[in-house]
Order: sequence, then C-alpha cells, then structure tokens
Amino acid sequence: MARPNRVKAFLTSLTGRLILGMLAIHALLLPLLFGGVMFFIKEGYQTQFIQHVRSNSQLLAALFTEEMAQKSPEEMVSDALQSGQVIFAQIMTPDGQTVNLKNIDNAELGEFKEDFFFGQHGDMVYDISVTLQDKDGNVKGTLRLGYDEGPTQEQIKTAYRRGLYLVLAYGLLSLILVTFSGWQITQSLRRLRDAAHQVVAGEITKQLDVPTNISEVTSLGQDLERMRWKLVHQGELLEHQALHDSLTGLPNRTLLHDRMQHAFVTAQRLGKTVALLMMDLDRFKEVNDTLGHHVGDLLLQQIALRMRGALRESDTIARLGGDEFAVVLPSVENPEQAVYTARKILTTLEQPLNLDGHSFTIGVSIGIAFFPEHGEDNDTLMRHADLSMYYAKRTQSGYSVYNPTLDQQGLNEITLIGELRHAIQHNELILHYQPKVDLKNGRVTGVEALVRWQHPRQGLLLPEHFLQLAERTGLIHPLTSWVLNEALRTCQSWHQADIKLPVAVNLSPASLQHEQLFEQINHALQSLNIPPSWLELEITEAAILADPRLTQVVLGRLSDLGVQISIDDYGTASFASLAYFNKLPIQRINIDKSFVIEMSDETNAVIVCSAINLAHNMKRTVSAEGVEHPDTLKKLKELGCDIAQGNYLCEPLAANELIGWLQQPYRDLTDKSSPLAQN
Amino acid sequence: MECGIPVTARRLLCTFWFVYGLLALAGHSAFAAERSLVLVRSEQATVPPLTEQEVRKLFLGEALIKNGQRVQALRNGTSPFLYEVFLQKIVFMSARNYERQLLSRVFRLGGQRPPAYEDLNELIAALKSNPAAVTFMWEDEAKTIPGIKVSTQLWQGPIE
Repeated sequence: MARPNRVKAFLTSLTGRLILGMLAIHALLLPLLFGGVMFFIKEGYQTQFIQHVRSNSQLLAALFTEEMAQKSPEEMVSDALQSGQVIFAQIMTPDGQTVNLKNIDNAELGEFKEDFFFGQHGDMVYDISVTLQDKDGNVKGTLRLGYDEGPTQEQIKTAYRRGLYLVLAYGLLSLILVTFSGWQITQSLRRLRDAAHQVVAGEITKQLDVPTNISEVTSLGQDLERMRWKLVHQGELLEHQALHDSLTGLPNRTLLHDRMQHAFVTAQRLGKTVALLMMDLDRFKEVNDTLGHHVGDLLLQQIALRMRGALRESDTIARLGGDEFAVVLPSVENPEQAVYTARKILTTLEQPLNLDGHSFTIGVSIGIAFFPEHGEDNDTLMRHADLSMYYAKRTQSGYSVYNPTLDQQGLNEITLIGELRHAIQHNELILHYQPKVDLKNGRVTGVEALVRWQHPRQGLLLPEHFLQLAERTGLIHPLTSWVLNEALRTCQSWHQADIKLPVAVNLSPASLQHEQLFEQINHALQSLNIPPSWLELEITEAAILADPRLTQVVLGRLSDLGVQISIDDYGTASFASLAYFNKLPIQRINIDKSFVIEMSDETNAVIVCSAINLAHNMKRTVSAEGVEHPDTLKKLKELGCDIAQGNYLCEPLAANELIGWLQQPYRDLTDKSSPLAQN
Repeated sequence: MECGIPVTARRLLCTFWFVYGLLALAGHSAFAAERSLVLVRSEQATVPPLTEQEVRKLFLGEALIKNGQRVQALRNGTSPFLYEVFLQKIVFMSARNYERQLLSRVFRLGGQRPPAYEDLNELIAALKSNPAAVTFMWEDEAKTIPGIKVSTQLWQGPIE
C-alpha cells in the first residue's frame, strides 16, 4: 500500500510533474524532430548518390563515344568497372543486340530495370541507361549501368543509428536535467514551506532564511520575510495597544500591574520599598460635562504630559480610566521620597492649563501606599492607595499617606456609594415635602420636595449624608432625575385629588449644567400632563456663578416654558452677582436659613432686611427658609417678607401625611394661637 | 429441357475474351515499356524545334534566342516521376543539384529561374499565353491536350 502512495506522491510532486511534462513533450517532439532530421539526411545521401550516378554515367557515355574507335567494348566496360561503384555494365546496339555484358564477381543480377529514384526497385542496384552517340550525333547504342546502392543505404542506416543514439542521449540528458532542476526547485520550495510553517506556528521573532538562487522563490521568501516583519510590527502595536491607554499613551491598568509585580520582586531582592500613588482629578467631571469631552480629553493629555515630566525615567505612570492615574515609584529609600514626588505632581498641576481657549487650574488628590508595609500584593496596595486618595479628596489635603485607621472610614464610603446607586435604581429614596406659607394670608402656596434615603441599616438619612458623595461620584444626575420625576408624579396625583400645590425641586450646580436638563424636564411635564408653572426650580447662587452664560441660556429656556425659578440659599455666595441676577428670569429669592435662624443677631437681621428690600426693588418675591421660632416669623412679617418656610410652620412630611395635614380646615398658619394651627 | 447459351456460341465467347485479354495485356505491356518525353509549345508559337543540348541549356537558365525571340522555359512539376525522368535524361542532374545550379546561376548572372507549375491547367494556360514558351511532358499526354503541339522528342525508353 505504501508504494503506490509514494508513487502517487512523486507524480503529484513538482519534480514528478516536471518529468512527466518533459516526457510528454518529448514523446511528441522527438519523433517529429528525429523523423525530420532523418528525412533530410536520407534525402541528402540519396541526392548525392543520384547526382553522382547521373554525372558519372554521362561521363562514361562520353568516354565510350570517344574510345569506341580505339577500344573494344569489353575493354571499355572493364575500365568502367574499375571505379568500383559500377557493378553492372551492358551495351545495347540500336537494333536491340547485347554487345557486351559483364558484372562484378559474376554476381547474379536481376533484369535491367531503369531507376529514376533511389531504391526504386528494392534490389540495391541503381540501373541507368545512357545513349551512346558518335561525334555526328548518330546513335550508336545504349550504355546500361548498374550502380551499387548498398554503401549509400549503409550510410543512411548509420546516420539513422547515430541519430537514434543522439536522441536517446538527449532524452537521458534532459531527464537528468529536469530531475535536477525539479529537485533544486523543490528544495527551494521546501525551504519556503518551512519558512511559511515557521510563520504559521507563530515563531516570528527569528528572521526567515530561504537560501536559493531561484529569483521567484527568493522574491517569495522576501515577501514572506516582509509579512513576518509586519506581523512582528503588528504584534508589537497590538501589544502596545493592549498595554497602553489610547488617549494619553500611558501604560494602562494591565501594564501597571505587571510593572508593580516587577517592582515588588526587585524591591524584595534589594530590601527596598515601592510606593504606589493613586491619583484622581478634582472636578474633572464638571469639566467634561460643561466644556465637553473633547476638552476633557485634552485636559487628560496635558495632565499626563505634565505628570510624566515630574517623574523619573524609572517611574511608571499609568492611566487607570476616566480621571484616575497611578504612579509606581520603584526602589524608594524612604516615605518622604514618595511624599516629595506627590508634592511635585501637585505643584506641576498648579500651573494653569490652556485648553481650547479656556484657561483654568485643576486639582488632584493623591493617595500613597507602600510595599510591603501597606500591602504585599497589587490589589491590597491599590485598595489602600485608593482609600488614602479618597481621604485626601475629602479633606482636600492634596495627598495622603495610607493609614490603617482610614480603612474602615474609606470602606464605609465606598459601600455607601454602591448602596446609593442601588437605592436610586430601586426607588429606595423617598421625598418629603415642606409647605411654603404666604405670610400675608397664612395659606400654603407650595411645597419644597426634600429627598431622604431610607437606608436599610442606618435608617432615614438626610441629604447632607449623601448629597456630597453623589456629587463627587456623578450620581447626582440620576438622583436629580429621580427627584424631579417623583416630585412631579406626586404633584400630578395631588392635582388629581384637587390639591393644587406647585412643587419646588432643588437643582445642584452639576445638574444645572447637564446638557439634557431642559429636555428631561420638558419630557417629564408633558408625559405627566402637568402645567410647567406648577414646577419651581430652586437654584443656588453657586450653581449660577459656576457658568453664568450657560445658566442664563438654560434658565431662559425653562422660564420660556413656564417653569418657576428661584434663587436658593441666597446670601451664601458673592453679592457681586446681584446685578447679574436681575438679568435672569427669576421669580423669587429664597433667603438662606442660616440668616433666618440667627435673626436675633442684628447683622443677620440687617442682611435679611436688605435682601427683602432688594428683592422687592427688583420686583421679585422673597421667601425665608428656616423659620423655627415664632419671633422669627413675627420679624419676617414686619419686614414684609412674602413667604416663609420652616419647621416652626410645618416639618417636612411624606406625601400622604402632607395630604392629611392639608385637608384640615382652613387656618392661618402664621397665627399659632389659632386652635387649628396647633394640630 | 436445357436452357442457356448454345455450346458453339459459348466457345466463341470464350475465345473472344481470351484474345481480348491477350491484346489488353500486350497493349498494357507495350505502354508500360515505352514512353516518350517530348518538348511542347503552343500551337500559335513560332519557336522552332530545339536540340537536346539547347533544351538542357534552356532549362539550366541560359538565355536562348530563336527567330529573334527569347525562348521561355516552363518547368512541369505536375508529376514527380516525369520531372525526375526529365532531369535524369535531359539535364543529367538530381533534383537538388538542378535547383542548386539554377540558384547559383541566378545569383551569379541575374535573371530568373524557369517558373515551375504543379497544376496542369495553369501550366497549359501559361504555355498558351506565351508563344515563346516551351515545356516538357509525356507525348501521349501532350496529344490529348488541345492547343499545344509537340516540338521535339527528347527521350524515349522503357519505364516502369
């Protein structure tokens, strides 16, 4: 079974096919070539023979005519036979008589039959007759001659034989040459195949070598080498992409882990320390949201450049994602060295950045942890550096070195972030509503929606426990969205119950600058079929001052829609913006409760009075928050304040409690002496 | 009752076929044995009869003037055997040597080789169109072709 397979393999191989092809071509061409050459050789020999015979017979005839008088016919025939080629001679008289007859060795010759072609009669004798004439042209007889064709036939046969030998030699030589060439090509192709296998097997680091003198194979080998080189290059590129951040070109988390691992091993061997600095930009999200992702990306690139400039060649800086960076300082002599580097980074970033026409500074919070003191593996060290970074951010200290006491605090915060996200997604937040009372007639003019979190372990949490966290982590947007929708849904249900109360919702600075705010509010109002005037948005001064231009545009659109807008916590920010407020579509000013609560203090009372007068001069109504004492209420009435809100009047209530509270018979809420009001 | 040809008539018929067969055989033998090679020209031609020597020179490409006009030789290639007999008996050369001689003469002295015709009709047409043209053919064949006539007998002899 093996032999037929080997034969088949050989016949299908290049060498086999070349040999078969050569044999096929020669099988067709050689007979033609051989036949053609032999034909011309034979023709040449025959022509030569015939020419000789014809001229020789003419010569003999001429000689016979001249010697007829001196010699007897026998003598003449004898002379003719001396040439050796003439084996038969005969003279015929005109009357048909044979004058003489002689042949060599008295050989038995056939009957004289004149030939006109070589080998015509197959008797190996070329018979020719020539007329004998005298000088006067009279016919004296006919000379019949027989020439031996044998030697010529022998010559032709020899030529045939030699030709055949030549053809066989040629065929053999061709076979050897074709086999050798096939073997050479096959060898080159085999080397090429091995090189291709090397590439396929992924062994692309070693340069390909295809030694051959066949230009086509050399070219293919070069192409293969180019392909290998491109694969190597592509592999390096992919590796770079896999291990680096595409935006900044810095190593990514994967490479950071690798570098950390290397640094740990080296540090262990040398008895040194590795410092890990985790960094997070302050207010980056705001930059991204307000100036767009393009500016955010530019910012990250510039910061990456600056930070790289502040580090040594041996240090590794990586971008972990978003605005998170990490620096590995291998072989740190002492903790101060890492602190020094952190300070250097902070100093570097203090210089204003110029991005797309905007010039601003951005802060960074750095958490530092050391190997092996704070962790002996990547995850632990990163977690600890992360916690110290959160601490630095919360305390706004710029940097912080990990301290085991931070652990629980940081852990709590991280847990809280996850829980808040879960609470927003699963409606675990609740809204309480605090009424706003008209100080002129004591009636409720609206309510302010105040968010609470019914925490599974910590109980009911007030906004101050989680709002900052939400703002820092970007959860403020889904939180605001939830509050808006929930407040409007409640407002709608009240209106269906014929309780017509507008609802006020607080907007954070980040929410005000959210590009989808207008669409979101408009969509909520339309989908719940609520007139826009039933919604009041309370915006802090700080929110307005963060981006006055954008605020003006957004508030303008909302006001045009019909939404009521008020300044919240008025007085806590710069008064320099008062003139600017006049340009904004604001209906009301809410005086911050810090002034209202402490109105017993003269300074605060003056501020409240000034604020009321200023608002009235600007044709705005005034609301005082934080009314917790009857004297405060009395004073506000005296000062001409329009609306009051505070625990003295009514504490924030859940929606159903508020309905019950509101459905009581009418009373002047500002007059606590009224018996109804005491309920 | 016997039907058929009477015995006397049968004998006569056998005798007839026997004599006819003998005559046919004899006629055939005579025809095969003797053939005559002749020089022919058009009936309107004015070329006088030529000697064997003159024919040889003419067909070897030499100029031959007769009655003030140049005689034109036309080679008859319609039958290889006829051509070979003509070359053997008149030119005394093999076909290859004859061609070589003609070429040699043309190259040395100029002029043209005698035109050769392999189609009999074309040969006859060329012969009739040129009154100074001559060619060679078997005498018995020439006699069957109208418009041409035998000028000279070149050779006669037994052939197979």
